[in-house]
Amino acid sequence: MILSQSYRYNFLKFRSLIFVLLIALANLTVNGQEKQGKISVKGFVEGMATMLNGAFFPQWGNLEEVKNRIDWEWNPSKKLTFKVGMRNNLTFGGIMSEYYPYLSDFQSRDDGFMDLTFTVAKNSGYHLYTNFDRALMNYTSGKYEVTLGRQRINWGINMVWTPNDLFNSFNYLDFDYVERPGSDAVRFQYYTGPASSFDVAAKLDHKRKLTAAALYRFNRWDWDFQLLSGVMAQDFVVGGGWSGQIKGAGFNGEGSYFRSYENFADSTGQFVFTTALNYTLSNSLFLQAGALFNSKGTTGPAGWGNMFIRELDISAKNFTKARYSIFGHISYPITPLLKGDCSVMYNPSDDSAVLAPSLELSATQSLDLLLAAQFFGGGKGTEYGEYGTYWFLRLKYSF
Amino acid sequence: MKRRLKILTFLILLMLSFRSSPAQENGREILRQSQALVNGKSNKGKMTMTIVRPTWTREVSMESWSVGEEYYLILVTAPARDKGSVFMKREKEMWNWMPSIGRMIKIPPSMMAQSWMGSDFTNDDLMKGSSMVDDYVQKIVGEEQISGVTCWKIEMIPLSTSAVVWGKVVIWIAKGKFWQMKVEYYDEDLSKINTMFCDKITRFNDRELPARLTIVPQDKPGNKTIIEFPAQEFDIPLNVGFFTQQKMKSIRPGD
Repeated sequence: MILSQSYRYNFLKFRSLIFVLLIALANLTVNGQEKQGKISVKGFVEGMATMLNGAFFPQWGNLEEVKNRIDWEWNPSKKLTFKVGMRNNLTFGGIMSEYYPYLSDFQSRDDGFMDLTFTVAKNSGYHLYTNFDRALMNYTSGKYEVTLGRQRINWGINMVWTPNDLFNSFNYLDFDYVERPGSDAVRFQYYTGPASSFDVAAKLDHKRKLTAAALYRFNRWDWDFQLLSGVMAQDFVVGGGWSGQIKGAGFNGEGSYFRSYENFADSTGQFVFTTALNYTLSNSLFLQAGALFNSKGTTGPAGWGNMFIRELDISAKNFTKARYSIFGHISYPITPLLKGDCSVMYNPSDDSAVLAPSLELSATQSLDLLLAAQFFGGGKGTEYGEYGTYWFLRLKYSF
Repeated sequence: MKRRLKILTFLILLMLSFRSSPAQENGREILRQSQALVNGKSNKGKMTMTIVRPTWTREVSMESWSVGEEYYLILVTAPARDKGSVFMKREKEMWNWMPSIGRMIKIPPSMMAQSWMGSDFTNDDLMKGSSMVDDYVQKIVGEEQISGVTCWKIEMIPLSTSAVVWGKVVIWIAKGKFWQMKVEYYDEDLSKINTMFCDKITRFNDRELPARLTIVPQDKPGNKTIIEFPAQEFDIPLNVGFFTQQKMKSIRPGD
């Protein structure tokens, strides 16, 4: 028993060492490989410190993250492309050891059909893991394109809520992972015109649940439109969206109707719809407003009950438990190097909201410094009531 | 014989009249010829933009493909943060492809007035959102020397029906060579906002053109934006069929 434990410990230590060496090597080869052959490499290294307090964390707590991302692309021929996206993340800090030692279980869970997330080293106070969120092969022939493997299939139009994004909807508040996880899928695309295409995709998740759908994108009167239909987990889905302009303002919207196919006759469907307007003034001040309607949502308190709002199980069907949500966003380049940004999400039924201001400074050509906050407010059990305050400080180097 | 001579004389006169027709003295025609020289029927090139401020500089590099003024495709190659981002313009429509998030975004016209990555250029200047020829009324107002080159000075006032960013544009075009040597941009209140100077006349395959543009904003000492063209090719086999969303996703440096 003792022997096997010490063997296991040594094995873990050895595996950690190999991984750390591999990560270091992968990053070192970046500059060397850049222009050689047809392999391109890009990515970033960042450090982010989070300070938070709220109902779940009565005292101020901290969480530290070091993140590295590398994207490789290899084009052996004009028709063939391979892509791999690797993330190496280290999380540690007081919040983890004092309140949430299970964070590592959450982080090492891979929702894909393939398990491409590997814990390198951990204890109750830190977690180092590697995740491959892209691993795909793409074959293009004329107007046809086939993509196989872990890939991002992004059908959303809106910037905040995306009911058409059946394959991988996102949580707007999780701003530090814009690339989003990939889907383990096969995708077929046929381009019917310069701004129109036919897209069919199917994915399996870790529960072996199938999401399969077809999307037709087309362009009329200088507007983009899309229509989709398929199955998502246990639901039939039909949906559509548009993106166009009215007097220079961007105007978009998208909606989907979900209905369980297992007991189609007994169930009522769920309709999720969002629309948004945006306008840029001549001084570069950007304004955006939007709303979301969820027919199955509640007009009562819409709290999730989760400790971390960034880690909600969000899908195209469930962005929020609320019936109505309102969104506002304003951004302005204070100087060419300093961008100010502020967004607000409001639940008018339970009267709770989150205000998320941020300042981003371009420190050098490839180094960016971000200071951001999320101020949550509302009563007990409301959608945004119990998360308190988050502060984020991030330094990001891109290569 | 006499009759044939008469016809010949008539034809020669006709040809001569065409050559010295008032078209060349027409501001609109001069600008059209100058734009044709800059754009070519089609064009492919590399471009580096340096934003200079009293305490810092930033550089953006890109590759571009175009057919006339209506079809553009731009691939950002630096800085690292924005590398791989693609912009496409087809007539009045514009899109942005962001490979890192796998999303195609339709850019509304109001966003065109935004300055391009903090430079003294707007998206509109860069993507040639408005047509210098069709959206303005041009008038020759004189002749001046710019860097030793004799230029036509042309004043341009936007048509009331066109949605352009500027209230007035004054442009100096080299006589006979059609290089755009200097351009002044005015806002709606007719106060000067920017001046653009062009130099480094360079031979790119079939034509000579300035290889460097410098935009200097008014009343902001130490501020400027420099655009350099290390490589340009004109009238290459490229047609409007090239400008598709499929191409936005598959374009790579050097294509």
